[in-house]
Amino acid sequence: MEMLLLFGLLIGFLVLGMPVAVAIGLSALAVIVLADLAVPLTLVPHQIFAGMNSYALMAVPFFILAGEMMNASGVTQRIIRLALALVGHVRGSLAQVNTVGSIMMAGVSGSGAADTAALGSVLIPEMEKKGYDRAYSAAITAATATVGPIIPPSVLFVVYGSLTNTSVGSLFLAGILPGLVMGVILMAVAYVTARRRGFQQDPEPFSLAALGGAALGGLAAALVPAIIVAAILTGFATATEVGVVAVLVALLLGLVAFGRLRGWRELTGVVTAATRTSAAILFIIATSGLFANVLTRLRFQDSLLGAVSGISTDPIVVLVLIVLALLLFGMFIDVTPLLIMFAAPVAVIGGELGLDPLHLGVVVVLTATIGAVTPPVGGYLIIAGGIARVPLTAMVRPLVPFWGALVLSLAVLISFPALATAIPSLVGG
Amino acid sequence: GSPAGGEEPLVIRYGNIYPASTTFGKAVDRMAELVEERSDGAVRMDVFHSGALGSEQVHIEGVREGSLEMAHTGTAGIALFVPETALFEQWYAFDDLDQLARAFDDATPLLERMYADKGFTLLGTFYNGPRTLISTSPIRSLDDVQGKQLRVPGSDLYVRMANGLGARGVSMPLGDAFTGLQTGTIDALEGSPDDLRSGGYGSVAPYLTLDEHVYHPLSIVYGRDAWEALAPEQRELVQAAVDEVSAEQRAALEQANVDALTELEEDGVEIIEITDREAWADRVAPTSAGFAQRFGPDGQRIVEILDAAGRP
Amino acid sequence: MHDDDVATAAPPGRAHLLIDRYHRIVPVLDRVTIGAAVALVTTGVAVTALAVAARKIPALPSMSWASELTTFCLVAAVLLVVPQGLRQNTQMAVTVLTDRLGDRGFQALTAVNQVLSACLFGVLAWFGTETVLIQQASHTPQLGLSMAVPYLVLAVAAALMLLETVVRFAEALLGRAPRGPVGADTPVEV
Ligand code: NA
Ligand code: NA
Repeated sequence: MEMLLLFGLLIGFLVLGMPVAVAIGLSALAVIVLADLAVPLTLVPHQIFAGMNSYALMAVPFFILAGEMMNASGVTQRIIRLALALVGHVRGSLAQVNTVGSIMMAGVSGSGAADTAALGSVLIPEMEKKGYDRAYSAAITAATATVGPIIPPSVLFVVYGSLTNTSVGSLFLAGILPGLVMGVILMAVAYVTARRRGFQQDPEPFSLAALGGAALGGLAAALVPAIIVAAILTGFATATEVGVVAVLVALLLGLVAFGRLRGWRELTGVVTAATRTSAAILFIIATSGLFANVLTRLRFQDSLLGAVSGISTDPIVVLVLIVLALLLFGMFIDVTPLLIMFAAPVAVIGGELGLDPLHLGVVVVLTATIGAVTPPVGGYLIIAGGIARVPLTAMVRPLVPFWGALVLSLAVLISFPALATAIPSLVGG
Repeated sequence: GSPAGGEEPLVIRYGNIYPASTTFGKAVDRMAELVEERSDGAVRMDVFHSGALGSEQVHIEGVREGSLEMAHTGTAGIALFVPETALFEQWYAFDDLDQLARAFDDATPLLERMYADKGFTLLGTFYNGPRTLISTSPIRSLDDVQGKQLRVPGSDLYVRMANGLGARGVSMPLGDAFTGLQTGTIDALEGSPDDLRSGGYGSVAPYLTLDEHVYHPLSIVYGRDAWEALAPEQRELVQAAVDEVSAEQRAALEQANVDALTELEEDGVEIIEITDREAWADRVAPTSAGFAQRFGPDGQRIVEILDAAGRP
Repeated sequence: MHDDDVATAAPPGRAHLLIDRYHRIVPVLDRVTIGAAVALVTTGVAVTALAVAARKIPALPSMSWASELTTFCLVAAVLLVVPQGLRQNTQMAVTVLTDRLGDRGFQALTAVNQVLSACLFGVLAWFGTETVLIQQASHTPQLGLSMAVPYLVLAVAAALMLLETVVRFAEALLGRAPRGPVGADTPVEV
């Protein structure tokens, strides 16, 4: 009963258009008062602070800062140039550039939303000039940005790891192969759809010289993911510390190699923008701390576990059920809050059933990410649609094949847990 | 059962930061059973295991504000309010659990007053330990531990003690410890054999050194205001249950450690006994002395009690 | 600016003038909060980098308290920036309903939302202050700092959030609450 009230109020407040963080905190507060949980209201500030008070979670602001610094350093342009040199000769080349650019961007930045914005603002106008339809351009930009949170670094893995006590470093490593598989499937779909729609039938010829020129700039940008993965693989530092390493590398690239970041004002601008983005995410995590506490007091996790094990105790069946439920919720809740709300209870269920924690983590994050490209509420769709100036409804048709690609990737990942577990178990194995 | 007299039962919320399967979890479940049975359902315990309500710090703050009634707590909890309790966790202060138990009993009247000053009622204690080292390369002597990156809980005392020993105390989140051992960010981790077994660290760190650096109390506390609001017979009921299960937990702990060591050994972990524990203790003595100095008269009184009960 | 267009359309009253005055003071407020946030984030980066170095180089003293200091710095930075995010509408929100409303409906809904939000921020500020008093007896595990410090930052940030909510409520009553992000692109001078 109280649970119904809690979720009912949450959905109600969300629909009213309140900030997600406020809706989450307020619905929890309302249940504390209305259902008389017999707790003092100091629990509200107490849990909201406790929700954020985690060193592991601080990788979120660090990776967001690194990404912001990278963008200001001109890494995005260099990645697009390299992608163009690599796949610009394929038919429907800009669709391929968009996809390959997303994969490369994924290795640099921690956030799919940032990838959508960075690549979209450059590529969508370019695609429009070459005759692509705007809805298609926005759709492919949003859909391929889902690779971002799967290939490390990833803010979503940090969130998942710190909420479920799973090693963030291992999750990063677990995401590499699934991310690449997604990339390949998305490239195939981009190829087929661009051809079918007759976009860019006569691409520019392949040029080794152009590739050579682009590779130099691209290589410096590619250093970033290499350093991140190497730092985790060699045990140089924990995920949060690697976030700081990424910040320093980005700073160095911006100041020295690319010479784009100049002056104190530009730097503080970058820090400010990154802190704003972090605040939007971390404040949701903070109020979710209160929400989770109320859920625990109402024994939500126990009833969920009971309900799930009442249906089946086969780990794969349960995993598929979890995925379907998350896909459904993901239509209405954006990726980050979705993950924040369900990571811990899902991990408890997975643990009880003996699912591999890393495999489960990647599956859950990928599923939540798909929520970012499903209407009516999808963060990446909103960003890409905003850049392309197309309504969400127009993006649905061109999105269909990409949804197919993402669901296929998810199915492959569920069927082959080794995709997630192989690289982490290689380390020190 | 239905509450006697048809009134709403008194609900006591108990937060347990350890899993239900540990000696602590079982003891608390037993406590809940006893209380409910003996009160004929008039008093009920609502137990939250596995730190479902948050960290140890969140638990103790919850008891203080009244969003929880009860919890058991050590350095990461009660010591944040009563810093002197950390003195019990100075390394190599005790040779066995009996010494610690004697010290805690002797200090109880003093602790009761100190806890009450900060808003807590001390009802009894569980015990944990001995804490041991699990490492990626064998630690057989004091020399072997020098310069090792040793993960300790995020506590000033533990970092100082690890550094005092000659290791380098690293306070990384426990969630990162497994990968940390795997990749070499850290070389060793410490905890009771049962903690280390349930964490599954043996697969990446196959050496367990029985240096037994800490035996420690986990004070069972009740919020002072909530305690004073209870009827005398309710207090008696809870106190009796605490006394009974805490004695059982102490016996269960020793068995759990034996079982854990056996299981670790079966999983291929080498169990190492050290012969130079005297030298380890001497090495940290200055750190302990320096740590004790920061406290006032109450702290010095506890130091005296520890010295009387513990190792000479 | 967006606000001024709406403002000139409505009859200039004392309430409008008050809100206009608030928006003129805002850059000063932002200078303080954003300046503090930038300093805190920079401290977090520097301290963490030094702690990694200290762990690698045995000659350097241990900096295991760095994790706690970093966490507090970043949490404080984030909290100080949230009120600005509320004013600029950059906090994530679901806009399915608000997008479909006409201006009057939007302003009315915005007013309702502010009243509801104020409940949360009010509780956060009021009981945050009480938490400061209750938990001041507690100390942080590593730095030994009083727990009153982080809770004080939370209470102050909550008070600022409440202020933004009150201003937005007044704007909605006057029919001048903005839709979508406002001025988030304008760089804040520090
Ligand atoms: Na990424
Ligand atoms: Na969605």
